[in-house]
Amino acid sequence: MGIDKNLALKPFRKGDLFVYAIIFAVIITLFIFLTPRNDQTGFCVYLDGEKVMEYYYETEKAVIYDSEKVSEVEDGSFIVYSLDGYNVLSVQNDSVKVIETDCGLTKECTKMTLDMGSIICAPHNMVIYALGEDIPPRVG
Amino acid sequence: MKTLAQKKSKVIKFITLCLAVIFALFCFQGCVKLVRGVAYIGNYFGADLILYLNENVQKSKADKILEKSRSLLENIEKTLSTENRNSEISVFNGLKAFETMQVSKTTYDLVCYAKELNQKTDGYFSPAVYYLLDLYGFTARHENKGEPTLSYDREWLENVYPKAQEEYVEAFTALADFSKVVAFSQDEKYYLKKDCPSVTVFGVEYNQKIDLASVAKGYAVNRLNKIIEEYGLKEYYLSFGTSSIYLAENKGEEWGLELVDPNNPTKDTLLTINLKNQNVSTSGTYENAYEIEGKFYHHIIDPKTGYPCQNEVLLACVIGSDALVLDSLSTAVVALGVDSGVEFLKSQKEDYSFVIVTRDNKIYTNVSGVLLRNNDYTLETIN
Repeated sequence: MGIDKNLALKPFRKGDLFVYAIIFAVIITLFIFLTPRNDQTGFCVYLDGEKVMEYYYETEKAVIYDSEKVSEVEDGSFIVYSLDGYNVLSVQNDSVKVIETDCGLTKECTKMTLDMGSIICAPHNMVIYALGEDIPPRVG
Repeated sequence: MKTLAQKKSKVIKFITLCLAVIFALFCFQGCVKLVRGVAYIGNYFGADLILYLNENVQKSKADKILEKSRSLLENIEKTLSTENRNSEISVFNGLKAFETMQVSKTTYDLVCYAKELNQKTDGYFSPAVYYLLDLYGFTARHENKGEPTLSYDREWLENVYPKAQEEYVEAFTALADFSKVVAFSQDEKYYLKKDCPSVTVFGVEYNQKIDLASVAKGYAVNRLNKIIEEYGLKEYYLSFGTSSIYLAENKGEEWGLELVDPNNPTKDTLLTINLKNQNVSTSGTYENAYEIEGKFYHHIIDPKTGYPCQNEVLLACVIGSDALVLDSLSTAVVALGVDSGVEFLKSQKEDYSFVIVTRDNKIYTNVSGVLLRNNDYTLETIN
């Protein structure tokens, strides 16, 4: 069979456009429903079961509930003092990490991120939770 | 064999497909970003205002809500905050006795409303107790327990302020009468008049000062709810400080509101109540309180005696539909005690729900389905 030269020169045919439209719709659907998003809006730090600070990524604002247990350093990091030692928290790119601690588990602590749900320093009884997860309303 | 034209056509198709994919990603990256969770609106009237969204919302929509909310709160604060030296309330506080000033309609309306609440609560809700609160160390300037600066200041001794001199208590009680603030309108202009005479103690003259923060916060919560609902959101709660909250819906159901244990310094949960589409306000006598000679000193003042109210109530939580009125009601219940407080709530036109916690670990409530989380307390249901 001979090739229809005019047809070969046309980049799109009716069928092509239909296929393109389907591909386009599939991409958008997958993008909306499957793209991982960071729902976390901040984090809060608990020491011995008591909330000592909150931090909000959008406003880059820290709410420190106990200034004897948490201090902000000039470089934007925070030092959390427990009865047995300290942890240094660094906030970068809408995430928080423990960058230094004197609990002897520095390697383990510095590897943890909030994507894992929480960061726990057991020797200092310190837990960091992500805000943006389910938080029950409280008054009093 | 494919011709050059065919190859060219395939290349064009491939490039077009790639461009379509990139275009789709760019177009939708911005507008479909969804957010959910805690959004910090700001610190207003000394309290953190937080919005908790329990549904996925387009980020652009959430940003607009936050922007409108911040703008609203900034305007309210500019007009009503005592922390802002240029606010209408600050200017009013600077007036001498019997002087008059022109104010905005918002200030006029809220003062009228506060006067109504003052009457309704038999004077127990008084925005004019500023000097008494300052005398006992419950205003913002005492937060760091600094050195005494005013003539009536006393030095903070470990965990108490020494007893205040009677002369100050008596004089400042005279300034606590909110009915002496006169609001009137004339030719579509609004005015406030300070009708309370000044008092002089040890040669220093004092003029009445008012603080409308609690009414302003309730007013703000009502306005914020309207903004949020205009954007079609239903799944959220709004928390203004630790004492005031609005609970919308939680996936169509009720929220489990946790009430903090007032006797526990680590603030464990005392009980849980299931609520939706309701405002909640709590007032308590346990925060920053101290004791002198068997008397408890806390921030809920009886404007008639000039001293902090002395009764068995540690915390009162009132639940209702209008945020504007709730703070005054919970304050009045703490001031009145359990029996009179309950009677007072029952005498109101609206049916209010309440939880009252006393010093002897009893909880009085008319809410059904309260989940008690601490067995040291006993629950008593009042119908």
